[in-house]
Amino acid sequence: GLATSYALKEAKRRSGSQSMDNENDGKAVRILCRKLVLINNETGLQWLIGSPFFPPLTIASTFRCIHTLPSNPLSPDFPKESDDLRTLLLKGFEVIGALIAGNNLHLEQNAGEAIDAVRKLRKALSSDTESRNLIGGVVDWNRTEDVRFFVSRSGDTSGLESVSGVAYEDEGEKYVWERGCLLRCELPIKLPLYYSVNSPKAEDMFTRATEAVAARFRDPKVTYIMETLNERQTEAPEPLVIRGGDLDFQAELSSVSFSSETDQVPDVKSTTCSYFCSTRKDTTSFTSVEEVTHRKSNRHVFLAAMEETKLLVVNFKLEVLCYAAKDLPLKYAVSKIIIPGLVDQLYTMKNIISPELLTRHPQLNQYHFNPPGFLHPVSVIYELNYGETEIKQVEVRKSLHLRLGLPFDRPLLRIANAINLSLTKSGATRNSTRKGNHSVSFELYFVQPMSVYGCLTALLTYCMVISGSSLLKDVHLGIPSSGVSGGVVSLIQGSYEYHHYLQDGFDDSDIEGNVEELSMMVNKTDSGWGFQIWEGSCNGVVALRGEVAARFWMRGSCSCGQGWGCAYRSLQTIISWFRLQHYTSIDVPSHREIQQSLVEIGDKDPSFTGSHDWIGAIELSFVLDKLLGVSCKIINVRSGDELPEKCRELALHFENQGTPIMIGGGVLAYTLLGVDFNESSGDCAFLILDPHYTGNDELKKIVNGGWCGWKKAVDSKGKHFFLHDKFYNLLLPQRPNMV
Amino acid sequence: MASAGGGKVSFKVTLTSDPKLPFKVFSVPEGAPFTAVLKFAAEEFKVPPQTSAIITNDGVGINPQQSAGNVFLKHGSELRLIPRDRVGASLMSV
Repeated sequence: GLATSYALKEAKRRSGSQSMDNENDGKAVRILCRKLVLINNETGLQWLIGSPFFPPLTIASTFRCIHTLPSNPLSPDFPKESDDLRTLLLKGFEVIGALIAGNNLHLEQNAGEAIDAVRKLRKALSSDTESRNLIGGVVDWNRTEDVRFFVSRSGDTSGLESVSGVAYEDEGEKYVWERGCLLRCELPIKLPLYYSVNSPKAEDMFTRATEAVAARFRDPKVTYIMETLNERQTEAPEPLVIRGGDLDFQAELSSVSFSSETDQVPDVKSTTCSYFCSTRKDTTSFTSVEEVTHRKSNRHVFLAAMEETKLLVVNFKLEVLCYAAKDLPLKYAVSKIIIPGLVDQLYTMKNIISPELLTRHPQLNQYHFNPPGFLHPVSVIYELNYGETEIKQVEVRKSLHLRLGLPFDRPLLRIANAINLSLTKSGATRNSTRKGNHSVSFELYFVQPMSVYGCLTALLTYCMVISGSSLLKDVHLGIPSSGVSGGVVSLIQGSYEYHHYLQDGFDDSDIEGNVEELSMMVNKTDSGWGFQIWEGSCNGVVALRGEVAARFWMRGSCSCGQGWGCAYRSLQTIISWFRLQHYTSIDVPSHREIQQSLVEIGDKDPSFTGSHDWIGAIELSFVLDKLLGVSCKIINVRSGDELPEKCRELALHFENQGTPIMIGGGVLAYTLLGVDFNESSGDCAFLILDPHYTGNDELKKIVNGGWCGWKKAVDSKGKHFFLHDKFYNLLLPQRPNMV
Repeated sequence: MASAGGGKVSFKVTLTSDPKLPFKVFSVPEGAPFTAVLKFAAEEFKVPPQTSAIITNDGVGINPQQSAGNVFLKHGSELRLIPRDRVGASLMSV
């Protein structure tokens, strides 16, 4: 059955939602996340996550406990759970409680068991041995009331106190990111191992070498450089240097005094993290990220070996992401947060590599994600030797989805979903060399004896790449409203690219056909067509230079995508949606590739490729199945008048699947992005993205011209958008159930 | 309506474009290409097979390039015959 999330908003209403701003006097539990993810009627245990930087009893998120003893679903397998959570949970967050759900539970007894479990987990995680107020929560499905919380006060292991109130924080994200910031440290290590050939105890050497590295982190001679990654600050703060000798490893975090920032020259010993943080109020993105680099001095050490020795190099790509309060002094950030994070990760990776030490080392990479519904990132180490679609990796992701309460029908923890925190600006926009009038200048050099035909194909591909890079996304955002009053709007979920006729004035619908036409003309003459070719050879290189007027392709009948390609464009838009939601990494296919697919599956004769034949919803379903493995539902109505009746079904589709829909009927194809439907009055409108647009990719033009907009089934003048005497097929792509 | 014995499978195909929803039942060998079912159904209902398609009662599209037995196993026997839309002209006026 479907897992439904249990939203605990009832407690908020009943407890009268006190918003206690600052210090929690420890009498109430404060919940920052929108819901504690539970499954109705399931028996299970959830870990409650908080932070040493938050007031006591503040819950930021929950993780489901997924490794339990076979005999008892409420009894955690502590070694496995701690292994997982050591990586998953950022340093700066910690497990502060547990919640048990089940039927007919004895409240206090189960709360005690929950707290007992937390203690054992914290011990297994080797968290600070500081005692804390730990929370035990109990949900009994048979009772009508919500979660009951109990607290075990720090230092008092026997007593359980019932908690009087539960407060829900409205702006959890703001709470977390106003208080703290992210720290990142990247440290690639090449660890040489020398082991004797005769009595190889490579694993022992590995263990000792790893321990030596871990010890080096605390070496007083080590230097840390901290700088901000916040590119948007015009006056970025100067990087700071902290020496190992300045660090304090002994102090407990809770007793660290949080000094306030002064205006004087920062004394490194007392400077806090806020020194690097952006002063802007914008807390939506991770703008305040610091990088700490660990520099070792270059020393050459020569060791004498007594017998034949082999050298093995183990690569560690350490990268930790941590959370720290903005007013935490940097020396504690390094000593209590970053270094423990590095050490933990080092040992985690070492334990994964160790069994394969003498064979093929697992390729381990650290990724960080912002899963939906979480106020803080999580970290995962993936083994990428066999790629992401390998069964073992799919299972790893499924269990992560289970732990984090994420749906199982969409990829959320793939590499493509990972947060990109690298220094270089990613996604630099390609510089189009376009001038006005859709003409392109180029210079291409090829080695002989590439034919003119080959050069031209390369040229046209190059033009397509340039024009393709300026595809607009999500053009429906911010458009005027539908005009349906009292309706419920159901829209596409996620992003898509707008594919339409003559993208940027460049006709990419029939490149090969155009190349043939063009090369015939080139062979006849090299001027008079607005196209000049200069050929010269120099050391065996043929150079082509000229100007291509893209509109040239419109000459001659049928040499443009206009008039035959609209269903193909709608398909391209749909495939772009599956790409952007990370269900596929194939390129959006060209018209020819779409035709080729239909020939390959036997739906069309080979003569179909290169033709300008029309296709429809059925062909689209075949191509989606073949190229993406996506299945589709098809709605067929006998008359356009019946389409408004389908609104409820369409609204459900947008809510559950959220994929774009293709509508084919009469002679036109449209892409449907949403419906606005008033159930009582029957009034409805359809959010249509029209692939027939031939202009350039300017959002204003597209929206003002109605190429993306709400169309009412019947407008104010009584005109019908859909034709009553034509049948329509609607193609509803289904999300593949995959992670 | 569903039966599969002696290497044959049966399908009940309904013509949705006719408001009276006429249907026919076909039996074909399991190994026969499903295109045969499509062809027979189209001919029986006097519609051109090239502009017809078969979908399940739930609206799931069926690729006819598989065996009848495969289709029967995956989708069952209750099917619909619908006309294919073919779209391409630019008649959009703004």
